[in-house]
Amino acid sequence: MHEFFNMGGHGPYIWPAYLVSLIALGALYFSRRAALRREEARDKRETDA
Amino acid sequence: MSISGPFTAILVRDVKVALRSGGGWFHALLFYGLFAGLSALAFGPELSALSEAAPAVIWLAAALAVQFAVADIFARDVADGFLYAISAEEESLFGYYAAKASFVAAAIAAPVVLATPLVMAMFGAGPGSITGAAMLAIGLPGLIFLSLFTAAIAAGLQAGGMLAIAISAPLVAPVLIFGVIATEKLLASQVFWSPEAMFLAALTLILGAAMPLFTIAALRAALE
Amino acid sequence: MEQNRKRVFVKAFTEFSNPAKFEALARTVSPYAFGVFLVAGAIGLAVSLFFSPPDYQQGNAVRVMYVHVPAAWMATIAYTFLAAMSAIAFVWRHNVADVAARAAALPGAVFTALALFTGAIWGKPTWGAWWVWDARLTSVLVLLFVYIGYMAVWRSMTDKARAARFARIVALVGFINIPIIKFSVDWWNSLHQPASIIRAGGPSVDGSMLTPLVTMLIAYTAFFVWLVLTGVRAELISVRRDARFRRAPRSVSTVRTVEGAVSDA
Repeated sequence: MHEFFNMGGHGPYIWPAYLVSLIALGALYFSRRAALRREEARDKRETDA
Repeated sequence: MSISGPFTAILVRDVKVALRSGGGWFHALLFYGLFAGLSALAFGPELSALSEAAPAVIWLAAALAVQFAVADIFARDVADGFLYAISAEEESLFGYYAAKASFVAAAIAAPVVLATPLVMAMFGAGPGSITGAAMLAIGLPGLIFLSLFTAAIAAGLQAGGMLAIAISAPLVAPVLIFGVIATEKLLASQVFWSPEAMFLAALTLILGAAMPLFTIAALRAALE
Repeated sequence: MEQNRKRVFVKAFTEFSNPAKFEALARTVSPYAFGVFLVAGAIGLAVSLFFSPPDYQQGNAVRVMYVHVPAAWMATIAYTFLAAMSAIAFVWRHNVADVAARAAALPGAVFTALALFTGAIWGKPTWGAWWVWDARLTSVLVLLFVYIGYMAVWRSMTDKARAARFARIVALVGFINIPIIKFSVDWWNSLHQPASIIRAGGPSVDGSMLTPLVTMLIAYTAFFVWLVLTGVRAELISVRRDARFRRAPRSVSTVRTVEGAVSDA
């Protein structure tokens, strides 16, 4: 297990690379999804009102 | 539909304005000299350091000088309605564009090229000073086309020239890179037509073919 | 036969240009795109980190390749998409194309930044340097600036129709950077490795590494598709709202067209 985390000494390179990628893609996902929800909610409010 | 009609008229107008404004066109040459002088101060008195830096300084100074001097060349004509008048009268803006490009080449870029041998000599380039200026003369037209594009974007954006310069900077980069390498090779081995020099010439030709179209499109967008 | 094909193409083209029809299409396709992303991403991650072997030269550092190459790949694909959409908008005044181009910009910029970041991380243990000013790295950095410049054009004015005209031109002019990125490692002796996947003799990467690489590529591409579709959907709704609020139409038919299109969807 510790061996896996260490990645033969390359751990400090691999994990930040994967983590930052995950965070960046996650941020894109959540912000896009939130923007769509926001627009749909506004649209719904205005057409129902 | 010939371009010679509006071409000469616009060119003459620009020359008259330049003469009347008391040397605004001179700014490129001024910037060029100042940049080179300040670089020389920054690099210190060692001639070896200066002659190594000469190609980079020359190209950087020339690129920036032309960009800055040309930056508002269209904005003025948009602001005072001159461009609108031209677009209303003429089918194509190409004559207007050609006149502007010629003016920039003759009044703004040519002095820079002519001053280059002197600047290079002061940087210790020796006999390479003349051929170095010739190398600059090959790449500078490409930079002129790019600067005109920058100016057209700047005329439309109103937020300013800085964004426009940032937008065209990615295209200036290859010209700079190849220009500097070609000049370094020229000074080191007296080979003028290195692969980089040929690529530089190709770049100028490609830019000359592609940029006018986009520049005119940007001018039309600026008129809206 | 030829006439039929042409008719289908024109029909598809006009379908895409109709905002309401495009919205409906986007709504249908986007869950599938996201599904592909999740599946390919999960498999890709597992294989990249667990089920693939370390490289005999680089050791485990090769695993960074599985997040670096897809990011770099998407950086150029996204821009090519953006430029293609801008070209369509430039020639045909196609509003949805403008919106699609704009939707691709931020994802593309993020992919580019990721490529640079993961590239630096990969470079340190393999080449010994975080960064060198070689042709490919420099031109990818330039690409990041091109993306930022493009987004800045949209933000520089409130009249989006006018902004669109400049954005299209800027996008097209910036496209010159893409062939430079692609071929820079072939034209110059460069630190960055030359093409190893799309090349004349077929891929030179070993099968056990090709699998996680291709899987991650698929995942990133599907994610990009989802991002663009979602971005376009949001923007089209926003445009529709704006049109609705402009209650002083130049002609009554304009308002009716928009509302009519909405109720058709």
